[in-house]
Amino acid sequence: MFSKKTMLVAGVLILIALNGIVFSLDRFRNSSFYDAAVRAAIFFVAPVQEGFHTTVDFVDGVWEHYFLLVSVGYQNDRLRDKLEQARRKNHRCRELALANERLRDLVRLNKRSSYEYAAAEVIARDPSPLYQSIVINKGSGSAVSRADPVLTASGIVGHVLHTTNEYATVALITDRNTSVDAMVQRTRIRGIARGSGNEKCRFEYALRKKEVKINDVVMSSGLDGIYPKGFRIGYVSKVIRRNAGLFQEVEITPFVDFKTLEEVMVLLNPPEYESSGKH
Amino acid sequence: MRIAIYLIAALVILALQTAVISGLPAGRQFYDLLIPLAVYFSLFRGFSSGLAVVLISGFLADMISGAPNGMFMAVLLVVFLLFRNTAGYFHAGERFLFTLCTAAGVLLENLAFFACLVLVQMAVPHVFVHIKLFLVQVAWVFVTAPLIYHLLSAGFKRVDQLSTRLAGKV
Repeated sequence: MFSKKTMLVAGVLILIALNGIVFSLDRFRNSSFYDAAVRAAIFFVAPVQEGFHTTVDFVDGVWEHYFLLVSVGYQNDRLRDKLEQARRKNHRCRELALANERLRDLVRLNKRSSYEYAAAEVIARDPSPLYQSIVINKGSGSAVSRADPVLTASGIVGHVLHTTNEYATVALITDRNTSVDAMVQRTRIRGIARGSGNEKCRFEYALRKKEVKINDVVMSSGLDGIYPKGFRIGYVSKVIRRNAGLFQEVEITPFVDFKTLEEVMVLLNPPEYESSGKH
Repeated sequence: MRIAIYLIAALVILALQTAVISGLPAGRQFYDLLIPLAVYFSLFRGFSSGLAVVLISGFLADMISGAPNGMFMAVLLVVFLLFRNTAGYFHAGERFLFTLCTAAGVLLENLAFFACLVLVQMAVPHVFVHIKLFLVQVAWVFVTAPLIYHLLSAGFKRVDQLSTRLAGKV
C-alpha cells in the first residue's frame, strides 16, 4: 500500500514524536506524580542493589580477613606507629579546641552549632558515567529529607535528591546539575562551585581582578540555603586568567574522593540560611 | 509470567551495573548493560515482551539516575526499534551481529547523552573526554558482548523451557 520510502519517513517521524513525548516527562520533575514514580523505581531497584552491595562486601570481607593475613603483621606495625601519631595529633587538637572555646567566649560569639547527622552507606552509583549521583541506605525513615546536605569528614559530597523510607539518591557536587554557593577561604571571594561531570568542579563568577591561587581552599558560603557555611568543598587546582572577560576560570578538585566513597553523613534539618560563620 | 522473569533479569542487570560494576576501578567507563539487553530483545525476541521490558527498564534507569528524564527510556526504545529488522539485511552470525548492534547502540547512547549535555549547557563539553569514553566502552563491548550473548541465550533458553513446561502442566 505504501512505498518503502514513505514507510521510512513515517517511521522516523513516529520516533521523533515518541522521543518528544518521553522528554516532555521532564517537565513533571517537581510534581508529586514524578516523586511517586521515583519512589516506586527506588523501591524496586534499591533492595536489589543493596543485595549486590552486601554480597560484594561479604566476599571482600572474606578476602580481607582470611587471604591477606600474610601482610597483616607488617600492617599492624605500621598502624601502631600511625596510632601513636594520631594520639599526639588528637591531644594537640583537643588543646586547640579548648583554646578556641575560650576565645569564642571572650568575643561573645555564638557557640558552635551542633548539627544532627545520620550515617549512611553508599550502595550504588549512577547508571550513566556522564552523570554523578549515588544511592545511600538511609531515607525518610531516618529523618533524611530532600535537599539535605551530604558530607564526609573530608568535605561536601552533595545533596539529597529523592528519598524513600529506606533509601535516598544523592546528587554529587561534581554533577553538572549541582552547584554550591562558595567562597575562597583565604580571600573570602565568593562564587558558584559547579560540577563539571568529571570529578572536578568549576568555581564560577570569580572576578578576574580578584586573587585566586592554586591550593586555595574553597568552602561553602552558606548562602544557597542547602549547605551550611564553612564546609570544605575542595582546593583550587587550576586558574586561567584571560586577557579579556569579567571572570577567571578556576578549577576545584574536591577533597572527597568520589571513586572510593563508601560512607557518608547526612546533615539532618540544616539551618536554611547562615549569615554568620557558626560552623 | 515470561515478562515478569524478563523484568527481574533487567532489574538484576541494572543493580549489577550500579552497585557492583560502577564500584570497580574501571567500572565508570563500562558501557550501559541495558543496551545489550535491548539489542537482544530487538534481534531475537518478540516485539511486545521486548517493548515492555525496554520501556520499564528504561524508566527504572531514568528514575535512579541524575540524567534528564526519559534519556534512558528513549535511547533503549530507539535501539530496540532500530535493530528490529537488522537480521534480515545483514547475513552475519548471530553473535557477531549482536556485538555490532551493541556497539552501535552504545554509540547512539553516547551521542544522545552528548547532545543532551550540549543542549542543556548551551556549550560543547569536553569532546575528547567523551570520544575517549566512547572508545573505551566500545572496546569493552567487543571484549564482553560475545560472552553476554551466550549468557542471555542460555538464560532465555531456560526461560522458554520453563514456560513451555508450565504451560503443559496447565
